[in-house]
Amino acid sequence: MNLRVLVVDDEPGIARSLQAYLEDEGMEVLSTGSAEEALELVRSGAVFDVCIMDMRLPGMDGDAAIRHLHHVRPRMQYIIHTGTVVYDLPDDLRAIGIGSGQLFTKPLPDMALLVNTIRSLGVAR
Amino acid sequence: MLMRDDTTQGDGCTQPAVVGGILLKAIVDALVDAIVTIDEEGRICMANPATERLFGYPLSELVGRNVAMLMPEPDHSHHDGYLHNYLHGGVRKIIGIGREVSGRRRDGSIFPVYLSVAEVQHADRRYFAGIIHDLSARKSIEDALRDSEESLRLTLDNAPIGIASADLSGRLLDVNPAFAALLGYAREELVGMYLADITHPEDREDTRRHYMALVQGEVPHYTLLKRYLRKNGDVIHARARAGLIRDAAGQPVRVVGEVEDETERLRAAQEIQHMRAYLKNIIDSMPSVLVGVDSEGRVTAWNHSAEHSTGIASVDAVGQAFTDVFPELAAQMHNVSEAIRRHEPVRTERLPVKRDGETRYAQVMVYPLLANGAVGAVIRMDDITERIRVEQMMVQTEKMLTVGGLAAGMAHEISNPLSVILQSAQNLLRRVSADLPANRVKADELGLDLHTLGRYLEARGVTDFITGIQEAGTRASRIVSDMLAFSRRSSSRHTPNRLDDMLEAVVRLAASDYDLKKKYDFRQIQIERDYDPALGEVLCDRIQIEQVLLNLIKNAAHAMADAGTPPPRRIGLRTRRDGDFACIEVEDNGPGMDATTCKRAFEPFFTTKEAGTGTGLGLSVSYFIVTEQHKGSISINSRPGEGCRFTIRLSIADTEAV
Repeated sequence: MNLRVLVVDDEPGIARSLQAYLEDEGMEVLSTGSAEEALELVRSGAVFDVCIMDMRLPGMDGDAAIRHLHHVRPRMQYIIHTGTVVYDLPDDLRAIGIGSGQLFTKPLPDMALLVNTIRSLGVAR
Repeated sequence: MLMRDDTTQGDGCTQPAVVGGILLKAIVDALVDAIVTIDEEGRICMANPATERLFGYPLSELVGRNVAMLMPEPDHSHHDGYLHNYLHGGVRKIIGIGREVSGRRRDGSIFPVYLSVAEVQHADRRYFAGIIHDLSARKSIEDALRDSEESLRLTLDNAPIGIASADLSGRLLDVNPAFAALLGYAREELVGMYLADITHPEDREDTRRHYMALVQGEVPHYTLLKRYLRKNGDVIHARARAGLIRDAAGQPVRVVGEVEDETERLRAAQEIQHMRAYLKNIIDSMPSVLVGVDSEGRVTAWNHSAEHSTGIASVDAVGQAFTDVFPELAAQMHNVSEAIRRHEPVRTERLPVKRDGETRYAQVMVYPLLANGAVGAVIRMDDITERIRVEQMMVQTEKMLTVGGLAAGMAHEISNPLSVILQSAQNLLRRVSADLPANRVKADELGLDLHTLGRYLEARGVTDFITGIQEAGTRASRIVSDMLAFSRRSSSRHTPNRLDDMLEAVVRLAASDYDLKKKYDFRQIQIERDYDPALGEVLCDRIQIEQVLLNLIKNAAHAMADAGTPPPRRIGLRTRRDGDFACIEVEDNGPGMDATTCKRAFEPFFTTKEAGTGTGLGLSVSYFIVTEQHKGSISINSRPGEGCRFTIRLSIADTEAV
């Protein structure tokens, strides 16, 4: 079965390019521009294996979004895709199994790295 | 001659006696000395004309009077007693003997005389004839003699220099008080001592030789600078002059010498000498170039730094026009005149000086010599190239901090568009490729031949343009992340780490580094490890220091690959302790760097790599991390063709205090 991926990023260009690349890799990809939309999507029943989450978002930020999403879909895996170099992974996110290998700093010149991580997370799931 | 009647009375003189009597009378009358004859009662019977002259009495006043009138007290009162005693069996005290006594003139003045008395028996009576010789003249000569001796003695006693006489064997016969004081002895102690006794042992032989030469008449006198020993053992330096005294027959009898204390003068001279050497030392030890010139610009002083800078020795420079021997300073002649005229220093900041093809900067200060009316100036030149470089580094670092702060604020804003650029470019390339199945599906749908499209894109360079976008975007993102490093504040994340662990982690990272692998084969480089196992943990930000080490190792690999360093290519990694510091050395056997590159290596945006290859920030970030964030130091040791060694020093005092 194809991996299902949710991309959350308020920069449409990034969301679009990620979606395009992952789709070319044969994944099912949906993208949203805010945490609130993502949450609504999941609460309304959508299921994803992996979520690629931007951190700085309008409204609810990435950290909070993951906490809420995790509450709804405990088995969903996350990739943190941030524009901040000095991002410190909060302890509660570590506690739900997010490791430093899941942190990617923007800009990402080669999305192949992302694909490998998504696959391994999907398999582990 | 006047005689009493009775003396001539009844005098039955024979003819010869008569002649003799006349002659005698003539002689007695002509005598210079007075002759006075008295009877047993002391009355004057006879006196010659000299008596008149000597005592100032006319003869008529003398004859018949007591002779005591011619004597001062106490003889005046006692004479009768003397006479009486003698006549009644007393001993002769004067008669036939003669002695020096005093006479009394008519005017009461007293004068020295030599009196000799003869006793004469005549016609049962005894007479006494006194012959009186005036001693006044001789006395004054004797007084003069005594006076001159006294004067000489006074001179010697009060002479400020030591004077001594010694016999021919060198035994002291007499010394004056100055001589005794000089040597700390009493005069009596010195008399009888030998010169050798008061001469410093090391100067005895020299003294002896000079003394012998003098005594043997080889030299008329000598002067000798020598050391004497005082009674208390102190050594004094003195100038000794000695001369030989000969007797009337020309035989040497004694040596007379004078001794002048030179100790103070020598000490003063030594002090001057010492002070001169000390001042010269101060001037020569100055790292600044120091050139003293007169008002004409001729060199009067030239220190070591000046010698070093010009290669011209001081002896060759002094007296020359400084514009000839120091052409770099030729423009300073105007300032020399100005400084002398205005009586104040004239300064030139940042004078560019070409040295070995490199531009260096000097600070030149010209100040006038004002003391003692000497007209001239001193030119002081300091190489301030390093200072300027450090200042520039600091300014650059400050700039980078500002830029870093800005970058941190803008990072998110910049990284998002960069993401779009980079990821879109990646998608672009992928979606024109014939390899991706999804592309083929869509192309078939539209009747497009992807291979033809691919050839077209290649032929028109479109693929290269897209690659160009990717490379430029990647570079921009690296610059942003490097600049972000300057925005980081230090020490909050310092943890104890072993340096060798970190080096090993970095070597693993370098081996798997995508960028490195793409261009260079890291496996062809031998890593030589020399870790000090005793070196403990060091407090540092592990991520930052690893970034620095990775940067150094990558630079080494790049440099060796770019220069085509022949195998074996080596990178040496070393840890060691140096006092309160832990040192990490990263060394390669690559092409090395020249001095200018070494100095500028840490400047932001200074790079030797091809334009577009690096950010030019790698080493300045490393410098910032080590010096600013860790308060350590980083230095380069390299020469062209001799490889390169970076040394990082981190304090371990803090670690041990914890």
